[in-house]
Amino acid sequence: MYFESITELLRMDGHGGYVWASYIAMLTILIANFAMARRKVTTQLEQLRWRRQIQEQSKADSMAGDTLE
Amino acid sequence: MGLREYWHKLGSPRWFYQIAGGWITGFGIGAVLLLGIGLIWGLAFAPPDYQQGHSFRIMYVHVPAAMVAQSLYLGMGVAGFVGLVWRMKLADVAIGAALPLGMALTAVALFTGSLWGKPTWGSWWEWDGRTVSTTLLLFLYIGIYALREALSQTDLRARASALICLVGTINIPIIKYSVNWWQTLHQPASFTLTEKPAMPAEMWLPLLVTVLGLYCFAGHNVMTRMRGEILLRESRSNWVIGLFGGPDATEAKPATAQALTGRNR
Repeated sequence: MYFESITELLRMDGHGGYVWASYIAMLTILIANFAMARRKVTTQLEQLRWRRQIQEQSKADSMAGDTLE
Repeated sequence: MGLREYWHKLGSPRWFYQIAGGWITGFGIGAVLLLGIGLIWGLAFAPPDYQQGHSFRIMYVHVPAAMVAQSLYLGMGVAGFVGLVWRMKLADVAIGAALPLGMALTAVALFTGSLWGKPTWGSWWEWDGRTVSTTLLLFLYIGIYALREALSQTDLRARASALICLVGTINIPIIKYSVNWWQTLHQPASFTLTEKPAMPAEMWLPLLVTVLGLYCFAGHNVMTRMRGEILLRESRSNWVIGLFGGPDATEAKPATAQALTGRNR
């Protein structure tokens, strides 16, 4: 590591605030975009799975109805 | 696979959904490794600049953010052209998927540029050619986003956003050459394809690694969003129903379906 201590790494000769704010901004954006993209896919998958379950349930119900008749 | 055949296959959302799984995994691994190495290297191991001191470390987030934001816009412009000329469904899906990340990265580039400007130029903002043209890029992104949110009719939304994407690409060469055309405060390009970087290797290598890492992240993010949108638009088609054991299940194959969704169900 270029810096001799964690304090030096954080301070960066008075430029630490600018540098760390930049890195935090970038990481926040990356994490947020990763989470949003993942949520888009999982939401769709959950809806499709739910729709399939409803279809199967209604099919089973109608078959049970036919047997009773 | 011939180029022509590949082109025709690209028009199929199903084919794209299937091949995207492997690409997403590859891009994800690349992004974690390269961004992890590049950002830590730039933050803690690269030497400081002899004039700018440690504030130059902002370059390791500012330059990749700006480069990928411009590339994403250029990609949207190409997708817009393809969408307008060939009416390819996936083109509009790609525009919608690239938009959020491109907009966010442009904002990061401007924000980190401002943070870099304060200790270097003594000002948070300058009416500099590159700063202004990058701000224009952010407005273009916001404009396309607002337009897509406002229009509910899919075809109209696709055509309108494709047109703006295409027209807006004129801003990309303006951003690129702004530092040459107007002798302003912003420093020249850190990387060019034709010349060796002016910095020593211990400074530009972490930058190269971070740039490649962010391109991998963009690939991962855009393709993931495209898959989500394809599932939404194609939710009533047989091949999507087949993924969940529906009538088309034999065609989609259960094992493949699990691999496609990338999750254990």
